[in-house]
Amino acid sequence: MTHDPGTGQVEPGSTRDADGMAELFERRLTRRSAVRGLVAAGAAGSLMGAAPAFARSTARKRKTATTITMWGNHPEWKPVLDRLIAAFEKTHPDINVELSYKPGPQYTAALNTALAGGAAPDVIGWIEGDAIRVGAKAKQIDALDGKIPVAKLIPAARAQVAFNGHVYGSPLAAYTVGIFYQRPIFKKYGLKPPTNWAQLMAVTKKLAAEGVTPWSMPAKDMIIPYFFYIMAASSILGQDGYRGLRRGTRKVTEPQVLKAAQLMIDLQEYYNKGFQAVSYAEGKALFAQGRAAMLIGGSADYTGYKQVNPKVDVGVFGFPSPSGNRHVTVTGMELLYTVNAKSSHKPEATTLVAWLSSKGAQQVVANELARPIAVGAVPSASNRVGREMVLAGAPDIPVWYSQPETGGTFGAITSAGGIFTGDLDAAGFAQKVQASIKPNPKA
Amino acid sequence: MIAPIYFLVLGSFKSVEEFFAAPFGLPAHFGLDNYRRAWTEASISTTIRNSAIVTFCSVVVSTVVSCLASYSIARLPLRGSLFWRLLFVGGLIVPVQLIMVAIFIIMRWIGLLGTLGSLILVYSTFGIPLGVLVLVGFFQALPKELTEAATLDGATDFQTFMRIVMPLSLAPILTVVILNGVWMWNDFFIPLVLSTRPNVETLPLGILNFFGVYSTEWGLIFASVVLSALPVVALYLLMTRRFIAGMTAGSVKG
Amino acid sequence: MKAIRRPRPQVWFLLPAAALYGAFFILPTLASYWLALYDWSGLGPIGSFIGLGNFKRVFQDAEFRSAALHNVWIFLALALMTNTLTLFLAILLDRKSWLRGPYRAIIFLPYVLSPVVTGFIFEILLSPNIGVVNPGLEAVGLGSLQHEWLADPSTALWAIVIALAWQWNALATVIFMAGLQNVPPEMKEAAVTDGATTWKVFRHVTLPYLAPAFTVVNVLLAIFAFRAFDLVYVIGGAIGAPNGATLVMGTVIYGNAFGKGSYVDTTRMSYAMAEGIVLFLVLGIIAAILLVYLARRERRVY
Repeated sequence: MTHDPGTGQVEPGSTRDADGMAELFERRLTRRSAVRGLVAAGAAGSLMGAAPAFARSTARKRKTATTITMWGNHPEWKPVLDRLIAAFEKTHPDINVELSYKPGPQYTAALNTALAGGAAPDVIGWIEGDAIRVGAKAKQIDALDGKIPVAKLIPAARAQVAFNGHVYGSPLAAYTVGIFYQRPIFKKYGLKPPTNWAQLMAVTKKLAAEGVTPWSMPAKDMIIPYFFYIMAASSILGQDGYRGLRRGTRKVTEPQVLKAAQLMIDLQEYYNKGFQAVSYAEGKALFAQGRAAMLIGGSADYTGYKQVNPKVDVGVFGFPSPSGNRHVTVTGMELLYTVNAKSSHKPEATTLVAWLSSKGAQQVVANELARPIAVGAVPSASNRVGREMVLAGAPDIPVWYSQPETGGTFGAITSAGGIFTGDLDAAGFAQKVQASIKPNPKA
Repeated sequence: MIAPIYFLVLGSFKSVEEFFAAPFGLPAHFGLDNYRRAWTEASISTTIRNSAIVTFCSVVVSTVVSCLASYSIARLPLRGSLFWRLLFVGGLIVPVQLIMVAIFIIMRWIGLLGTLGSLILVYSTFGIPLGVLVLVGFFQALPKELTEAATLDGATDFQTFMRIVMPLSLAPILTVVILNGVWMWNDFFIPLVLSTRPNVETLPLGILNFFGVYSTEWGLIFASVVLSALPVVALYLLMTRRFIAGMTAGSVKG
Repeated sequence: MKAIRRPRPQVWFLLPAAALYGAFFILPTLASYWLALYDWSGLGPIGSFIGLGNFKRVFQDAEFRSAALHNVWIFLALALMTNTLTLFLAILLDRKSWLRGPYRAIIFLPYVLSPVVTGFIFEILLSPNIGVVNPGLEAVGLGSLQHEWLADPSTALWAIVIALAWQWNALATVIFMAGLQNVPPEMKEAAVTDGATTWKVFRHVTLPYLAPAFTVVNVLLAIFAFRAFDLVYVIGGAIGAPNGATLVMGTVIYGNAFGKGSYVDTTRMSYAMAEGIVLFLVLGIIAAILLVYLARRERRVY
């Protein structure tokens, strides 16, 4: 096509004059029918896409089992959870469980949207902390008093699901965080897990001197630094001190407790290269591959290490206090499962939630997944790491963000990355954390 | 320019140790192990099918709807046309995160939640701004004599549109198809919110979930990424000649 | 004698588009504007009406301002590159007509990849542990330039700019190449026979004909730079590691709307919506300014 844009004239021979157009028209005649065909296909496809909505409802009427939906936020647990669900379905042949996963960071987005839209799954899993209480208050979940074997739950689990005089559900598993270390590396240099801060520094320095990266500290999403800090601070405070923190009688800005933040800064030169932008997953891989000697890790991470390096040989120790009089682990709950108040299958959903704390389910959790939440379930002897984890904590402190008074600490520390860039010193960091704490004298 | 893609493909054949040991090096062997695992464990067969259906239908619907609308807008007097153009192009500016909650509620209200249909409707809607952006300019540049001749002969507006204008517009339409098709295929946020059941997840979402499970098996992840990009790349390479011709006649005219 | 009908737009042509758009875009957008006037966290009941309270806080929010500034840097960097290097590249490729075909196919490839995937690739390439950039620099003797690209606040954003540029460049080059096709060769030949140098030909013949392409590229660029989300989210996350250096408005909004991590975080949905509206206004103004300026230049040519 040629044309002179200035005058709008049409050159002969271009498609703009009548003859050219007729030619074009002939050529494009077949295309026209193609276009019509496409449009028809598009319309058909759209209807097809909508069809499942109708198909689903008729299909369900035919099946004898009821299907309930449930969400998980650990896609890497799929193999184990599939087996768990299969076991449940076997003993409850009239219930079909459809478990789907939303990857960790996107879980909240998907769940909140679903709740707002009134289309959350039958069994709703809440991230521990305040969310479940907000949901209960907003009547989004039902009270399950008398239907959950509360006595079987460990106190930490009970605290999360039983409040305001009602019980709302049960978690499936708990996680405990301690310090994982590479046993072969420690053995090679004749090191033992440190029991106080002096030893901690000594071990770190010795490893560095031998050319080994002492700590894997992936800080991209500030999760590991968060746990490092609360463990360090808890090791100074102890269980009573932590309760005092919640009550307002203790503060993280006290000179003794400031040491926790300072430790994180002092160890900075011993973290893996570029740690501030290294993601949690990469940090785990680094450790599992033996390229770092120590990593703050949770009981569920062990599966991840094995995925990366099936021959991985690790041990666990609790975070020592400065003087060595205690070793701290922190425990939190994985998703807290409850029954959706808007569900049309409440009895089945309740059965599932109640079953989560059963002996069978919890034994599987203890052996293969994470920390059990039922009293008496102990990892079998074959799970050395699991046992070590359970024993590592004396005392075991609830993870700070699960308690209403210290719930804001996660947000505070997430935005306190300045501690690694030099924009925040220990005092500044502690101040930020303290500002997010809402003391409650009756805690 | 191509370096990242080169490393992507190379990496898809490596094992995790190889990543650490020799980031630059060639993998030990070019086995298809990673690809096989990626295909089965990332449920690629399901998600690819869903993506294909959703993208195809959305592209068709949004293109058809945009063509009709753009033709009408191109014939409007200046103020009217400017109003509609700004209105539609505004769709390119609003961040999608915000309106997803509202769209979710609407979808639930009309009962399409958890179906591919909901995705198709949303994508079709968001494909309109690009379509209008490209097509209105093109239609405005078409000389009036074309359509006037047809009108004089007694054709209705629709007949004029279908028989005269449409055949001439294949080039810019192709531009719109490709530009919309690419982002619709790659989008993950909308299915993240609207795909409440696993059987309606699309490819990007499947890959993202896959990342979550095998977050450190980079070879495996790269393989899944290559698999997910292959359909679009293949289609694109096939259509590339037409596409360039389309860009010439269409978007450049503003 | 048939009366000559004035071409009147068929209103019903607009109907399907308007219906879809109205239901699935206008309506939700209005709903979020309305929600921005409340105090909703995203979970539970909607909360109290606070009018313009959220908007006031947005303008005082240092984090949002910092993110907006990052968007501006991205825009400026990409604009600079696009209007010089990319254009140059397009011209080069335009010359060698035999190279055009295959090159064009490959050049557009980066844009075809999903931004999530691209972010992921670049993150790995720049990784201090398994990346190839640092070892690569060492291999060519520039080992001293090695850096923790993504961990250093001063380089992290630029690393992201490079990743964005990689994808954006693909689209811009192709659009420019198309625009160059539009320059009538006779005009160029006429200028050459009149004795003009290559530079003069470019400046007075080619460039004016490229004006429409310029408009399209720069407006799309503004939208791309200010709406950047997928890629930036993958590399920097909702907290913009390290320490907020890689935050853009898109990720700040996402973080406020849906939480910043996989653990507990109080979301602030209404506030996020207010931020989104501000983003919309900012981008709208910039796009409008660009359009007016560039359209005027276009008209001067024709």
